[in-house]
Amino acid sequence: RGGGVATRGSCRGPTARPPSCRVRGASPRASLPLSPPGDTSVLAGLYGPAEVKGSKELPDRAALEVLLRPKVGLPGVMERSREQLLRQTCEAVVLGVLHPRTAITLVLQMQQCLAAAQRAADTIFQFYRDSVRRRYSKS
Amino acid sequence: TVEPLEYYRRFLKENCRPDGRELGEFRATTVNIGSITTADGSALVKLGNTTVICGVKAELAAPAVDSANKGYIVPNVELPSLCSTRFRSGPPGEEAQAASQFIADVVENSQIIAKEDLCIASGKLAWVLYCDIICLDYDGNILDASAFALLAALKNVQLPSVTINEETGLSEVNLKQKNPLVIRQHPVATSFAIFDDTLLIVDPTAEEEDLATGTVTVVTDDEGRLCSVHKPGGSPLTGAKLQDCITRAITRHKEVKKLIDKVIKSIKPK
Repeated sequence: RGGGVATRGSCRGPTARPPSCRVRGASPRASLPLSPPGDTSVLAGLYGPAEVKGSKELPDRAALEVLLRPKVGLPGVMERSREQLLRQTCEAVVLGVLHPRTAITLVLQMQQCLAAAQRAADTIFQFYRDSVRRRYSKS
Repeated sequence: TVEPLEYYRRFLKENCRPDGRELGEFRATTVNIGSITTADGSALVKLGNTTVICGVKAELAAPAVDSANKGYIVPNVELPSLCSTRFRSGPPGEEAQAASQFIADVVENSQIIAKEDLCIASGKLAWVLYCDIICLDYDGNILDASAFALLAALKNVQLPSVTINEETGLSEVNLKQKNPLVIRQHPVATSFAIFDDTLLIVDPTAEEEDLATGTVTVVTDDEGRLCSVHKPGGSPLTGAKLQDCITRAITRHKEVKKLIDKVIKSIKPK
């Protein structure tokens, strides 16, 4: 009915990071230990086939829904675009015709994002440098 | 039609489509520049029945702190409920948001306008270009039409000259003297629908998009270089097929460039 999946990868340089993955069935969205710093990790929960709300119901196949949650804040335009990409990728491989008029929901929670962490670090260092400069230029 | 997919397959077997086009043929493309007089730049693009209008509104604002010498370009795609029965009024849906993101990525990656050109006084004043792309009639291939409308509208933009008064520090806008924007690249999008995992058809209509197993959008620039390849999921595609798409996109770029040059020329003499 529900299960938790987490993927993460670690590798420096231009090669693709080899993903590592942990799957836990039965207990939905089991909590996982924090991955080493600098890695991107995503927690995923899959629900379905479940009952579907009226307007989303499809008569010939299951309605796939992907929800991407950023680490901080509310999902924006970028998340929506990624959701569309993920949903259409999954639709090509999921045998939705076996479960018509149901919903399959995939929830992805970003736990740690390398790019976001980098940006945050850059901003805070910039702030630090600026404040140091201001302090020394005054005296 | 009772069996739309089977109906389409019969046509595709004969290398044509129900609307009489060949597989690699675009619908009639028309472009009208300067359709909205209240906007700083505008264009209306029609791809068969698909109609998209783009208006560019320029405003002045202070540049962001981390990029003091850069202006902003804010594209936004709207799919209002009047353009098709598939959309409902209210906040933008997934497709509209994904299209906005795609257009924003194209603007960013192609360097259509150098953002430095939009800066008036470093750290103080810069232009913000709000590019509103509104679909008036939805019949598939919204990405190509939107990208084309945006490009045509940007070509049409006339910005008033702005000077900063040294004494008062205030900006002075001279509405009489207007300058066109410097367009550095002409990115052109070409979309394909994948039928039955193998067949590629160019410029799909809304019906074709629904029946297809996937779509690909290739964006190329003036030198035939790739600027974006957008394939949001769908059935897999071999490298050779993707190469075919790129080749077709490059020829399409030439057609669009010729069309846009012709339109610009036709309004110049006034």
